Amino acid sequence: MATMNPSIKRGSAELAVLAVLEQQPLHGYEIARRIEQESDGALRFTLASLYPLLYRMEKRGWTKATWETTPAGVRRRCYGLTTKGLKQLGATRLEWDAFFRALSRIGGLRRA
Amino acid sequence: MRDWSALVHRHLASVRVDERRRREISAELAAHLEDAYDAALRSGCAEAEATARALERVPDWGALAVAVERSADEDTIMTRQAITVLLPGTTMLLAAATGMSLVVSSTPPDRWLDPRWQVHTLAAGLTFLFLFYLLLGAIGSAWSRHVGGSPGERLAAGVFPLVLHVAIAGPVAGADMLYALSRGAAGLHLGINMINMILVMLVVPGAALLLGVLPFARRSARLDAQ
Repeated sequence: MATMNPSIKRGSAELAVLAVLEQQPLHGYEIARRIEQESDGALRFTLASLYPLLYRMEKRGWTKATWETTPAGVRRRCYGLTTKGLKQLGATRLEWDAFFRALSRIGGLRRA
Repeated sequence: MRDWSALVHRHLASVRVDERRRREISAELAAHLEDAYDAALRSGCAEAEATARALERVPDWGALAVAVERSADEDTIMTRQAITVLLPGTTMLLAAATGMSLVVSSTPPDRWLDPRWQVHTLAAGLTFLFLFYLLLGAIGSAWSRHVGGSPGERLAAGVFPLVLHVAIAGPVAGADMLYALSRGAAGLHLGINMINMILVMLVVPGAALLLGVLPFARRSARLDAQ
């Protein structure tokens, strides 16, 4: 991810992960790939930024992880959003929406 | 093809999380790197370039180890040592104290003083002490291993009841030694008594605890293979 204030970075990373998991349960690599793809490469995770975040979210009960075996016989740990995680996603979206509105007013930003 | 599991396992060997969790994390991160490597190969990269692309996901292994350890520590009420050493160790110490109290209270006081009984009492007492502490060492160490204790933590949990003996015998032996030294040659018998006490209070239970710990202190080949 680009250089950014750590708290903003963490908050944005949480939103990104929760948002891709809203669509379907995914394993770590696929979470990172989708975020990178859907952000046109603007958001890129290293293992050190992704997995501690996933473990924290799991501890907070926002996600539930289960080991699954693919048809090729490969084991992957898949993360799915819990009801608590879904609520958190809603709350995080509202916060970021308010944040961008404020920035737009001050900085004259254009929103996609 | 690179052995991603071995690579991750090597770099995360120092991370202070329980062994089961470490294996899970290592397997998960290795799978991530393998996926990145496979994706690079599918996109037309040669093996060396695919490996380099996968490793771009870990620019700093040290930072990864620290981040993983911190995320494991967050929100944990009990520290790792409390779970793997203090909890099993203190429980075994209480069991030791209870067992010894029962022996002392259930033996008539005159039996300890009766010369005819002393040899039998000592032999029976030492045998009981040895077997009891062998069991306590084994349980404490096995408990620590069960909750993910490292070999060092299993050893500490297993020999923890010795704290009780050091606390009791230490001051007495120290005072005895000072008194014996102050009496010169006349204090020789006190020195012999002190050696007996150290043998009974520290050496025998300590050896029993260590023997009990031994089968569980080794790193488990079965667990490591998972």
